[in-house]
Formats: sequence, structure tokens, C-alpha cells
Amino acid sequence: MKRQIGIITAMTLAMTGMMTISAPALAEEEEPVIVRASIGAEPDNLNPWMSAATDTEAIFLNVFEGLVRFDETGAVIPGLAEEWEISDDGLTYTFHLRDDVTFHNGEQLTAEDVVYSYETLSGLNGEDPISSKFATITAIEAPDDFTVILTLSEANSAFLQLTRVAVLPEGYEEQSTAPVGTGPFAFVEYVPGQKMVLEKYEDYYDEERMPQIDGAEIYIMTDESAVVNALQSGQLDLGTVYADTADYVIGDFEVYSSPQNMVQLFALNNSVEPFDDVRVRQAFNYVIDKQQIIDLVFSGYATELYSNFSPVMAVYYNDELTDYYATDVEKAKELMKEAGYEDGLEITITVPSNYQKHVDTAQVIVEQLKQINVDAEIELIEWGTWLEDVYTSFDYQTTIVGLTGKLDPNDILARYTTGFKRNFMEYSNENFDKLISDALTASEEERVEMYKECQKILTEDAAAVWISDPNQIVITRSDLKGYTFYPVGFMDLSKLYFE
Amino acid sequence: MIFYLKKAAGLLVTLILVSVITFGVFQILPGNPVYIILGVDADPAQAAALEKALGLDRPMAERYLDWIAGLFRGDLGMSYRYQQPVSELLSSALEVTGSLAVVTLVLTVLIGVPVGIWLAGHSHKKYSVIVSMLSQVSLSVPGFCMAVFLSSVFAVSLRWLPSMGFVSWSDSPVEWLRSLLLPSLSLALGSSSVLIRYVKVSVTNQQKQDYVRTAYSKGLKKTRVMYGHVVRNSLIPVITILGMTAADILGGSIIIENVFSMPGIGRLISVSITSRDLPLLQGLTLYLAVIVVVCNFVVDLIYSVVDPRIRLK
Amino acid sequence: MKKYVSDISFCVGLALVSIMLLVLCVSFFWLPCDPEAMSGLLKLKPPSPEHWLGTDQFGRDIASRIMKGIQISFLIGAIVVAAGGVIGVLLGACSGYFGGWVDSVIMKVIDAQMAFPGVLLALMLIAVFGNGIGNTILALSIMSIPRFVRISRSGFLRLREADFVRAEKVRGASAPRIMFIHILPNLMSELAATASLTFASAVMSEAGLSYLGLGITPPDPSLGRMLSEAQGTILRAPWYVLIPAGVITVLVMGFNLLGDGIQQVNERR
Repeated sequence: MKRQIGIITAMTLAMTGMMTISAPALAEEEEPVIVRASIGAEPDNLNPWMSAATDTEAIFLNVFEGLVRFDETGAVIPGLAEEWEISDDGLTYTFHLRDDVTFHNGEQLTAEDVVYSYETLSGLNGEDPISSKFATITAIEAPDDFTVILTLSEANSAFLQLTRVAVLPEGYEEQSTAPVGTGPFAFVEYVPGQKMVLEKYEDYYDEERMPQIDGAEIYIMTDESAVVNALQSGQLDLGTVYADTADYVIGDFEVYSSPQNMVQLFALNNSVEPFDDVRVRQAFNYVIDKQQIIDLVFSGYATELYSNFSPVMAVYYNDELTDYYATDVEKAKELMKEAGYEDGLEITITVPSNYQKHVDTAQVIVEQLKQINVDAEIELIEWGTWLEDVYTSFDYQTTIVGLTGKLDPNDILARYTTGFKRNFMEYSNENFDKLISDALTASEEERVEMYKECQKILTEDAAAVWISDPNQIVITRSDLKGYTFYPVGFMDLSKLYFE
Repeated sequence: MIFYLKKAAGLLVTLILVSVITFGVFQILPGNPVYIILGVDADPAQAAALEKALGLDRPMAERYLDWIAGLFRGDLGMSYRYQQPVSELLSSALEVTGSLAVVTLVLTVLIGVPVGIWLAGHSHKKYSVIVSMLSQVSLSVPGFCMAVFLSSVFAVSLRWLPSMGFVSWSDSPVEWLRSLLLPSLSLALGSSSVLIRYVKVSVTNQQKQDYVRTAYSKGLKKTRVMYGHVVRNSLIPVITILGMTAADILGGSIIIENVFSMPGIGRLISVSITSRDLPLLQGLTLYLAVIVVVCNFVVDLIYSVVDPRIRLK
Repeated sequence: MKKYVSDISFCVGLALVSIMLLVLCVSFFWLPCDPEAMSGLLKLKPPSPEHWLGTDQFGRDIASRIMKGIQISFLIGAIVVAAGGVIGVLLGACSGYFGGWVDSVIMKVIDAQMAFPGVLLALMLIAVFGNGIGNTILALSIMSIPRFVRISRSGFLRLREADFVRAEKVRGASAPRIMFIHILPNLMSELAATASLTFASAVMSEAGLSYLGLGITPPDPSLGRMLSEAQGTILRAPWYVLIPAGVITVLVMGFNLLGDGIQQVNERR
């Protein structure tokens, strides 16, 4: 027995010894300055042309750049192109490239790379196109090494911001495994299920955007409480979390919070009974108390929405719609009576099971709908099944989902046009369709008014119940400064620094 | 030898069965891997390009047959979700889960064997009832609850150990062990409770054997009898339990890996199902079947070392 | 019965299960509050006279939800044991009694199922059939079958050569009659132990599945889902997570001890 106790004691000593060496190795002077951050999902693809996920873009906007970039307000600013001219008919775009840009593999960026990129994207190289957004490009020319001219078949006022798409080096085939861009950070490695590692690109051309940290480790963490635990245990410097979690961190942390241009909506399938009746949709809008959802599900960290548009997009946001359907149970009951559903009805809310916030929202909605005798049942399905059944074949009654922000109002609103492949609300309104297509060729002032009108039409028709724009919450160690929010998901690492 | 060949043949049948069933299930399941990867903002042209790049534009049956053909060349195919060879994904996940299994087994033995022996020697004392009740409690607490509890105490509050991630042995053995202690402990508490019971029963039974009486009558000391004879002979059930535990953990502790954000087999299993990644899931089922065989084989091997009589059979 | 009473595991197990059964019975007739009523003002309040166990993140009464959750746990446990038990015993009986190719086919299938971790099986089943109480029960029942098959197979294997079985055969009794009227009653205590342990593991598996966001659909209060919801608020309301965790532990421990107790008494005989 003694011998055994000896062994156990030795083991215990060894363990406590290890524990007391303790976690955060203090940064010595020669140590590189690394920021350890978290994202909520695995990257969908390392090749930016093959990626569509917001979380992935948020990180890789540090690695890749396009002809133009965008600033904190969402406005277009020069990127790889110093300046550009647009012809009066809106069909010809001439970009003047910087001559001091190199890719992470050391090669200089020239017009050839831009031509290669746009030919591949638009399919003008004879292959299948990679992006349907560039289908209107009819010609790409490079009169000299640092000028590129794009010609379009039709004017499109949303085109310029599309040119923020990543420019990739010509002839480089390894983008999906070892991506190479021109951004302030270079890709180092990706360990599936664990992390991505980026390092400062020493030869970055823009002194003002030169990173102040030496690198970043981005940990993939799908579990919310794991992020909080990792912050608390000192394993993360920066974590992105959902609303209420922010209240739970205790200690030396800064909490940043900002609306993220997302639209969380309770979508009603406009083409099936009973939601083909506008009165039922309006009744739902009257009975659902958005503020209660925001309080219960998001601990108040969210902005109420009245149409499919977040106030973050200040220029285009129609602020006259505020409280268009102020919560009014009596009015809702009346509308239900008019529509012939006085005795109530039974509905199903189909929710993707991996989004806890949407599941929680569904629970609150079920309670609220009881006030107008609507018996709602929650059906949880896998994300993959949701994408197929709800998002592709519109085989559902109601659902709850979040639509991530876009920089251009057209990308946000065109979703409701008749015949749009992803119009899963199955909403249809001729006036709306016309406004959306006219806006593409209109002047900027006209566009603003048109998009405001579009929002109004959606609200009047009660195409869905728009709930909120949940805040994006970022928690950082209190000595890590410089976190900046953008109207689309972008974790700008170049602005971060330790005090 | 023939015994093992027979076992392996039986397993092969099982394997084919499971593989075909998995394939069938994926035929029924709604959801296209390309759209699951790209999400709601997928561009149609982009989706088509990715579909082509992954070879998903070919009929499913053809892809399945291709996969089987590749198997004979030792090629497990490419994962849709990660666009990396399945074998690479498996081996890096195996490092995580394998490490977890090793540390868990060591902890299980360190807790289970001494406590079990002690209980067998003191079965009538009052506090032994308390100890066995305690082990019952730790058996009944859900594993992830234990994990959440341990991580909030030792990682979040005391900051002694990391709360997430995995550090490779080759990077730093100390960090490796530190990153594994909490998840292993959450698993080991349950499995050691099982072990305690078996050790206790087994030691108690051995103590009643004739040879023990003989040893005492020869004038051997109690400790000598205990550790020289009884414990050694009681090890068989220990090995069986350890074999089961190893197979269990290597099969993927989805929940524990989730709590501690560890990129192990469990994580791959849930990803492969939710993203309809058929090559990855087929690779995983193959791996799981192999694990069961290997664990059984190793257990048998250790039996014959511990108890030479088994070799004779 | 006296033997059972003298076994400490059995007694403690029975006591714990009885307490839970008592709560279950009360919950059918009376709940402290409406388990689904929400209130923004009552978010995550600690225990008080109005809400004995406090409120959850939606301001719902935890005590009422726990009582409702115990109903669902018992429902799941009972159906899983019944379904898994009936199918498992049938298969095990045929396998053990007839032997030969029947035995080897059944055991092959059972082995195939055993070779794969339960969670993988459950994940696949739920991916195919979707979430919900019915599908959770289906998945857990399938997972519980092998245990019953093994126990009943070894029992039938042992007893098919027993004297009383031979005597019945000579008298010309049919196979089903021998199997279920004569042999089965002799295996009752073993099966009772297995049933009890299966019940415990069904409760635990449901908690695990619900933790992964599968399993029971909200707003039905299931202990497992409550636990995973409580986990998110652990830093702000640590007592909340203790309640469902405690109830699950008591339920699991009760049935585990009960099963152990029966087993130990059997072995002593």
C-alpha cells in the first residue's frame, strides 16, 4: 500500500507542478505580438472566389484586397486601384492600379493579374463563370501594365462596390490550400476544426494600414460558452459572442457592441394558406412584440426592425416606418377575425436547430401567438435540411432566420423580387419589382428614394415579420485596443494594437 | 490466429453493411453539401463551380463506386467540407482523440485501481459505503456537466489549466498534458467508477481463493499476498473495462470535444453528418470499425500476458 | 423481498426513484405556475417564495418546468425500456433458444450495431427523421436493444437444457409456450435489473442529445435541454445549471442503484 501511496503522491505533485507553471506565458520583448481571436464557424473555402460565408470573409478581408475597398461607413474607397473613372453612360470603368503592390509570394501586381481575375470570375476565359454577379462584363482590356478597362453590357449603379472582389495572382493554382493575396496579413496555416494563423506582411504597400501586431491566431469555436471560458482563462484576447453572453464575463475586459446590418426575420410563406392573406400577415405583425424578443433573447443588445433593412445603412434607411405595426393585440384579433381565423389556427415554425438564438426567438413567438389563438409548433431541422427544404424548395409555412448584411441596398432588397431564386418568402409585388430594376440605372439621389419606397412597400404588405438586427458583440482584453466595426462582417486586424 | 481471421471476416461483413446503409441514408437525406458549405449567400455560378470542383456533378452511385475502388488503393478520397484528403483529416483528429484516450485511461487506472483495492479490503467499514456512494454519484453525473463544472473551476476561476484547444505532443509535452487534463478527468471520473466496482468485486473474490489461504499459511505478509498475488490475478476485469473505455473514447466523445473545442474524431463525426460529407463519414465508419477490432485484439493480447493460461487455449 | 430490503444499493435506489415518482404524480394534478409563461421582468431570478427554484432566461418558473421535464423523462425512459425490452427479449429469446443460424444472424446484426458508437447512430437517425420526442424515443430504443438481446440470449442459452424445459418438450409444448411461459419468468429479475439500467441510460442519453441541440423540441421542457440552456447562463445564474443537473443525477443514480441492487441480490442467490 505504501508504494502505491508513494506513486499517487508523486503523480499529484507532478500535476500540481504542471498546473502552477500556469497558463499565460508573459510576452517577453523578443516575442512576436500575436492576437488570439475567435470566430464562430469553420471557413467555407480558403479561395476567396469559392467562399460565400460571412465569417470566412471577416477574416480573409485581411488577406485579400480588391480594386476598391470600403471604410467604416461602408463607403467605397481606393484599394488596389488608386483611382477610377466611370463613363457617362455607366458602361465603361477605367481603373488605375497602384504600382507598388506585391502579392504575398513576392510577385508584383500588374494589370495582367486583374484581367486574369475578372476573366475567370465572369467566365470570359471560356470556362464556366465563377460568379454570376459579373455576367454583365463584356470586355476586359489592359492598355498598359497598370490600367484596366472593364466594359459592361448594361449600366449598374451597384457595380463599383462589386469590384471589391479579391484580385488573385495569375497562374497560381494553390488558392484553396495556400492562399496568396495582397492584404496586410499573409496566410500561414489552417488546422481544420482548430485555427487559422495569419502573419503580418512586411512588404505591405500602405504605411497607414501597416499592422501593429505581428500576427493573429483565429480559433474556430462553435460553442458560445467555450468562447467566454477561453477569454476568462486567458486563452483568447478577443472573442466575438452573442448578446447576453457579454454580461457574463467578469474581469479586465472591454465590451464593444454595434448593430451588424443583419436582418433577423420571422418569415411567412406568402404563397401558402393562411399567409397568402395580407390581413393574417398584418395580424402577426401586430401581435409580435419585438421589444420583448430583444429583451428576452438578446438581453436588449439588438435594434428593432420595421422592414427588411437595418438602420446601420443610414443613407438608404427609411425611418418613417418606425412602429408601423406598434404591438396591438386587439387590432391583431380584429384582423384575424376579418380574415376568417377568429377561432385561431395551427401553424408550424421551422427553425434551423444549430442557431440557438433563432430557436429561442421561436419559443417567445410561440407564447406571443397564443394571444390570438394561434397554436404554433416548433419544428427543429438541421441546417442542411433547412437550406434544401426552406431556402431552395420553399417547402415550409413559417421560419426564423438571419440574413447577413450587404454593402449595397440592392443586394439586400432584391431578395423580395418576383422570381428571384432565393425569394423564400415567395413575396411578389409588381411595383416593388419595377422599383428594384429601375434603381440599378438611376442616379444616386433617385436610388435613395426608390430603396426607401421599396422598404415601405414591404412593410405595408407585411411580407414578413422583421424582428431585429442583433448586435455584434466583441469582447477584448482591456489592453487590446483599436477594434473597429464595419457594416459587413470584417474583423480588421490591421487596426488592433496592445497598449 | 484463425480466431482473429474469423473475427476480421465477420467485421468485414459488418463494415460493408454499415457502409451501404450510410450510403443509403445519404440518398434520403435532404441537403446539398455545396450549399451547406457556402450558406445562404451562395452565388449560383460559384455553387456550380464548387460542385464541379468537388465532383458532385456526377451521380451519387458512381461516386460511391469510385470511393470503393479508391479504398483498394488505400485512398479514402477527399472530404467535401474541408477539401482535404480524408486520411489526413483522420490522422490529425486521431492524434487528438488518441491522446485524450491515453490520458483518460491513465487517470482511470490511477483512480479506479487503488480505490477499488482499498474498498475490497475495507468492505465493512462505514466510510467505504460513502466512497462507493460517491463513485455512484460520479457515474450518474452527465459527462458534459462534469466537464462544464471542471472547466469553470480550474480554467475559468483558478486559471490553472486551459479551457479549450489541443497542443500537440511534438510542440510541447507539458502543454499537451495540460490541454488534456480537464477533458480526460471529466471522462475518467465516470469510467473509474465502473472500474472501482469491478476491481472491488474481483479482488474480493480472489481473496476467498485457496491459494491466498495457502500463502498466508506459509507466513507471507499481508501486503505481499495482496500485491504479489491477489492484485495481479484481479487485473483481468480491469483490462476488459479499459478496452471498452478505450474503444468508447476513440469512437469519439462528441460532447466532451465540443465543450473543450477539441478537433477530434467526435467533431469530425458531427461535421460529416451535418454537412453531408459522405467520403468523410465513410472514412470515419471504417476507422471506427478498425478501432473496435484493434481494441479487442490488444485486450486479448494483454490477457495472455497477465494470465498465461489463456495462451494455452 | 427480504433479501432486497437488506441490500443498501436497492434501498437507496428505490428511495430516490420513489421521490421522483412522487413528484411525477403530483405534477399530473398540480404545477406551481404555468411552465410556459414568459416574463421579461423575471429573467433569471434566484429562488424566491413565488418561484421556489427561480426563473430561467425567459422568466419561466423553473420548478414547474422541472416537474414537466420529469414527466417527459419518465415518458422517454418508460417507452424506451418497453420498446427496446420487447424487441430485445424477442430477438434474444429466439437467438438463445433456437441457436444455429438464427443465433448467428441475429448476433451479427447486433454486433454490427454495437460496433458503432451510440451517438453516431443517434445523429444519423435524427438527421433522417428530424428532432422531436418521437424520434428521440425511436433512436434511444434502437440503441437499447442490444443490451436486452445479450442478457436474454444468455439466459435462454442457459435454461434451454434445463430439466423443466426438457419435461415440457416431452409433453409436447410449443416453442413459444416454453419460451415465454416457462423460461421467461425465470429471467425476470435479470431483465428487471437491465430495464432499470436502460432507463437510467435513456435519461442520460436524452440529456446528451438535447445538449447537442438535438432531441426534444422546445418549448417542451426536457431536463437535457434545460441543462444546455442553463449552461449558457452559468456565470450569471450558477444555481440554474445545478437544478436540472441535480435532477438528472438523482434520476440516473436512482435507477442505476436499483438495477445494481437487483443484480447483486441475484448474484448472491
